[in-house]
Amino acid sequence: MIKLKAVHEILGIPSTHRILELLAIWGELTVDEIIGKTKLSRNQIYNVLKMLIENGFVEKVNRGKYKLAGNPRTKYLAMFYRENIVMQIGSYFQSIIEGREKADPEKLTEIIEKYEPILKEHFKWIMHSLVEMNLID
Amino acid sequence: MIEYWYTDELHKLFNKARNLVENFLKIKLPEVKVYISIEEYLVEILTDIYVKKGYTKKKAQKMAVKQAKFIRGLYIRKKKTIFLKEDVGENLQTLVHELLHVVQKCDKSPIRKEKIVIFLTYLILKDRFEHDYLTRKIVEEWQRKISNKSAEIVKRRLLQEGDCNNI
Repeated sequence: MIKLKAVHEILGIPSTHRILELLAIWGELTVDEIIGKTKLSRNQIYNVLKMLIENGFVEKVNRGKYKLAGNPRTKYLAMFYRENIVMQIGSYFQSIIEGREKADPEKLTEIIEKYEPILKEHFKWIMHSLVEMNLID
Repeated sequence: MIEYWYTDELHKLFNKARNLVENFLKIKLPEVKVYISIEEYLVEILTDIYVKKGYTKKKAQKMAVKQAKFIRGLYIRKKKTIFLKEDVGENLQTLVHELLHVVQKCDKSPIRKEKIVIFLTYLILKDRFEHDYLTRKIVEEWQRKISNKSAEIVKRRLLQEGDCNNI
């Protein structure tokens, strides 16, 4: 039985969404990998993961990794996070393409660190150009 | 470890891409070498470029490792050489794109240089051009830009100095 109050509580924490988003993108992650991608503290991450497991959003898998639970609610949530990220990245890249934003190799690197699987799936050709244009003399 | 190499298959691909570009632009391409390279070699190249741009070695290396995952090919003007990344770069779309950079004279901004090359690669390959969401936007933008004019002006724009956008 899902306790709605607990669900509302956990979904009200901003770091919950960062962790859920990362798991939706990367599939399985260790706590160390989540730290590397979010800069959240180990303690914060463990607390959030504990609540997410208790409420059926996340499952612990082997080798200290965590993944999103396989229930329909979480599948839809994962789809939402992934689509939202595609929109955000698309909008940022479009602003570069239209010349409204300057391409920054450091920012591009940060985006790759966080969203590599999404970039490989949805932006593989434009990513080639975005990397290449930073290298032009 | 061998970092880059040449194969019979690459020879065929290069001839095909060169013919497509030369027939389309009605020019003869200058001499250019093409190799297939491992990602690690591209990381080295990218690191050197970023160090020369003023980044620390550590930062340059970090950016290079991440970005090399996405680069498919790279034309190094000083070496007159194109490196195609093993597997992902060994295709017509990547090689035609890089060959257009070889003869590109228009400039103004890196993104404008890329956009005109993407559009011309599309015109050369047509149905064989593989899109992603944003390359489609670029092609549509350029189609609007030339509207009922001939593609010849885009070809000329690539081959002449000045703003790549100015047609």
